[in-house]
Amino acid sequence: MGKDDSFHRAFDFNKHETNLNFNMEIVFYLTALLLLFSSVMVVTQKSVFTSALYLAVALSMVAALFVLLNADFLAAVQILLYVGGILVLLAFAVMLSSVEQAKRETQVNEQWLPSLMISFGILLVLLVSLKRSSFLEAEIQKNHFYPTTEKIGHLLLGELALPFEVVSLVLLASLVGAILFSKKEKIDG
Amino acid sequence: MVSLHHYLVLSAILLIIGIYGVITRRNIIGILMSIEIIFNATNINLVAFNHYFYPRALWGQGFAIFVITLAAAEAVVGLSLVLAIYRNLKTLYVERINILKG
Repeated sequence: MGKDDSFHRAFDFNKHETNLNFNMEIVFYLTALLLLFSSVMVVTQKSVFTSALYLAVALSMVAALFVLLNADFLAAVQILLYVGGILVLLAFAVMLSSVEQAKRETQVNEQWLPSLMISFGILLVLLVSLKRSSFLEAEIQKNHFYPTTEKIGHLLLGELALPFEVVSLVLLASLVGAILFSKKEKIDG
Repeated sequence: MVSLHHYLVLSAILLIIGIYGVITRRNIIGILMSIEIIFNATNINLVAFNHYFYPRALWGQGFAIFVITLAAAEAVVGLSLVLAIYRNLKTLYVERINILKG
């Protein structure tokens, strides 16, 4: 780890540690608030295109949370793949299948009250089990920033090489499947 | 100091928002978006555990990369299926896609 040490001496990331921690708390709460607000908007908006735009905000906020958790490579992947890829795909699907009267119809089915209760029941179970769990007493690491890209590359082509290759097969299968499903033909012949 | 507890509670709330969307949305594309929210809650969990327990080993982040990749594959196949359904049935509301009798 000699390279990491010289890297640290060159850019002293941890000089203003207390100040940084204070700011990180504010940033965390703002990010979490915006994330929760925009995801509630995603599931409650009438127009699907508007909820796609709110989904862009939510995914960017998740990338910000990754930055707060020192996962720099994963934040870049989140922006590139989710906001740049999946979301553009979703927006294309929304625009290709836009129904004019959709804005006047209700977008929520009649089961919304039971599903709200089920969701809050699940949240209650999760929070109770979180409160009873024993891993919360783990030691809190200091915020040392280490660049993660090189290590993730070694991990993906080292110990995780087999899942890496399997995932490439899955991607090939989904590519072929997407081409197959989007061919012009009737389902019922 | 932001602790692991904060991230876990945040991702639990995000998970139930996604579950609510999956159950109540009528539009298929809305359901797919809610599934993406659930995947993101999972990823926050994985990266937070990684950061607070084993900051030197990056297995949680590697796993999160696989989750993102599979989410991309799911979105591609799902959206092409949605477009095929829309071409044939002219609707995206799940309660009207009921040609499968039996």
